[in-house]
Amino acid sequence: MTEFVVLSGKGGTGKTSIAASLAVLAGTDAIIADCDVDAANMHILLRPDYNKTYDFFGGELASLNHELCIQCGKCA
Amino acid sequence: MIDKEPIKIAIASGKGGTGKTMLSTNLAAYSSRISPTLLTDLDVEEPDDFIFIKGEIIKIVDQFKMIPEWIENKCSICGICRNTCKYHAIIQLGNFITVFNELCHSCYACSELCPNQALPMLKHKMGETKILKNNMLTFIESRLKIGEEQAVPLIRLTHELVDTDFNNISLQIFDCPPGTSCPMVAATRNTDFVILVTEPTPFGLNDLALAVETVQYLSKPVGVVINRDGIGNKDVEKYCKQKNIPVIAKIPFSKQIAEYYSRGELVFDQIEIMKGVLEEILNHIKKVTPIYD
Repeated sequence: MTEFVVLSGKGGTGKTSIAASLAVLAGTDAIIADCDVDAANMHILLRPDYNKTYDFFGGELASLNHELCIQCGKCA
Repeated sequence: MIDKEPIKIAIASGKGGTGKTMLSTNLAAYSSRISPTLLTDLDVEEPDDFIFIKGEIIKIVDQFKMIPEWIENKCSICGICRNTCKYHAIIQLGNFITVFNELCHSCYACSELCPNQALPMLKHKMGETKILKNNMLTFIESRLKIGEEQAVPLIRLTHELVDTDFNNISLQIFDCPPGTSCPMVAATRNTDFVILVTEPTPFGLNDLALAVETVQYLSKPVGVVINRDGIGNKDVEKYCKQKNIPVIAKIPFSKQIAEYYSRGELVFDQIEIMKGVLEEILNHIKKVTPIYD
């Protein structure tokens, strides 16, 4: 499988447009991944049927145990 | 004379390439013709303001983050550090501990919890902040070292530097990184008003909506500037009306503006309509924030 990435330094140069065009040209023998997790736009051009949706869990969130806390301030 | 708090204006967007830098540089340069203005380029991964704003370099500040360094002969291979790190920045390979600087978030947990003080925190240079002056315009650029993974620490340090050393400049404009995640949040966090620059296209609308959601989650007042007005459609305006978000100004789509910009030149001296746009924006800022002189 050949894998390539469409990148740029500057925003708004045409990554999504070019990547989507390549996706269309590649036809059915391709996997397309929109990795612009901040503000994905490929779906606007490619209009996929959303087959499956998964929740993504990033890091863990700390919670304070008031019974153990001695308020030393080191965490802050 | 009573000291006034500075007004901090963030210029952000969801989508990249909408015109944040064009607006930030022109707004700051135009404003500085009348009163002292601070422009800070917080797009630390790829700062571009310097292309349009020249000045005399006053100072260059090295910027550091704290990273643990493993001291082998003190380590008892207890594994507390690798079990503690929530960022997967510490791994143990046999009897060796490796710290991934790029993943470290400088929380100090491993260093504090190490029973043998085998992970002292040391300074690691991650970027530079340049301070320049051009008449009444003070220009700060922060630039992340190539290969550094995190923009947020440098963005935070830059805000601190502005608060410590440039509190006397009453209008402060921050050119923010694009997107809606940590860098954009860190850049807009301690500002008073966020201007979101967008283009009137489906991409522009999609990303504007995400940016609005982020900014409103941070409880920041927001206004929109529509750049390249005339292309695309009216959906962005409809969205703003529906969400009660003021459209502060519209910059028309203009090949002339694009040409000046692509040559690295400020636009407002050459294109009269741009002066009107900048006045509209400055007037809106005066209206929604405490009056500055």
